[in-house]
Amino acid sequence: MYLDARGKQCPMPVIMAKKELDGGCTDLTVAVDNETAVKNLTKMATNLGLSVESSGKDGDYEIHITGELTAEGRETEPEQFCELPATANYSVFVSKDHLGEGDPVLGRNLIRMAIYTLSEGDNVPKSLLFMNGGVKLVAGEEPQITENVKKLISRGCEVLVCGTCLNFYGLSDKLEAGTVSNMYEILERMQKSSNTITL
Amino acid sequence: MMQHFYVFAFGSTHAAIEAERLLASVKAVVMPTPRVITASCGMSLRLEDEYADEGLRMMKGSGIGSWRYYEMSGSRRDLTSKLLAEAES
Repeated sequence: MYLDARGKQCPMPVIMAKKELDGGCTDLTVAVDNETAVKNLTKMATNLGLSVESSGKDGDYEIHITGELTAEGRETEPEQFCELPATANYSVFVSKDHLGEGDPVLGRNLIRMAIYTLSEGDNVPKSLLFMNGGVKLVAGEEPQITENVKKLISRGCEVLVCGTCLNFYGLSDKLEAGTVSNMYEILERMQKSSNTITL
Repeated sequence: MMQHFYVFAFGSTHAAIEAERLLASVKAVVMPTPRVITASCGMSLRLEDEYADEGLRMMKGSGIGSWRYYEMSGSRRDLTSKLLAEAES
């Protein structure tokens, strides 16, 4: 199988190649025109336990990947093999148990949708910070949000939960996802982020 | 990674919220309506394969109007939808 990924920037070559491998291709040649793509494809193949060889120079490369993907390998998200940071340098601050002002039931569903979308999207935040009423979302009230937060953690997001707030709401022993933290660490994550989005 | 799941999309957010309560027992997940599904409100409910039939039965007997039920498949970036059932308001 020959795949022409020239003119494509990462993560596209990796995603295209992974799609073929997922589909059962055991002998794949990918043409790319940049060294980052060579590096990322090589990293992916190596990590997935496949054989890989690359050839070419000066903007014209071929990567030859052989071997059969394991079931576990098929479940792996291709983006993580990209040298481009899979997690961008932004934080999300969740300070309430709902999103926006207005009807509380609608607000609860909106925050569920927001966390779901973050967990499914390409641009995973570097940190997800829960404070005040927001801590309730990861302390027993919300199985869906808890699941999605766990997924974010598995994709490289750091999740910090305000311990003072858990204590205040009587939820210290109910935390289901994330790490108990404090004001120092939570503020530090915000200061180190290029952008903090408050939900 | 290939995905496969089912989605209820709704004509109104109120119908979606009512259905969310109803379908909590079949582990319905609230999600933004997939982009490929147009002409419905922005809030949808996702069901996994094992609850697909039971969820549909519950909705059919619920009296909640104005919904459509889709089978979704494909990769995360390239989902396709297939309409399975619908109820008018």
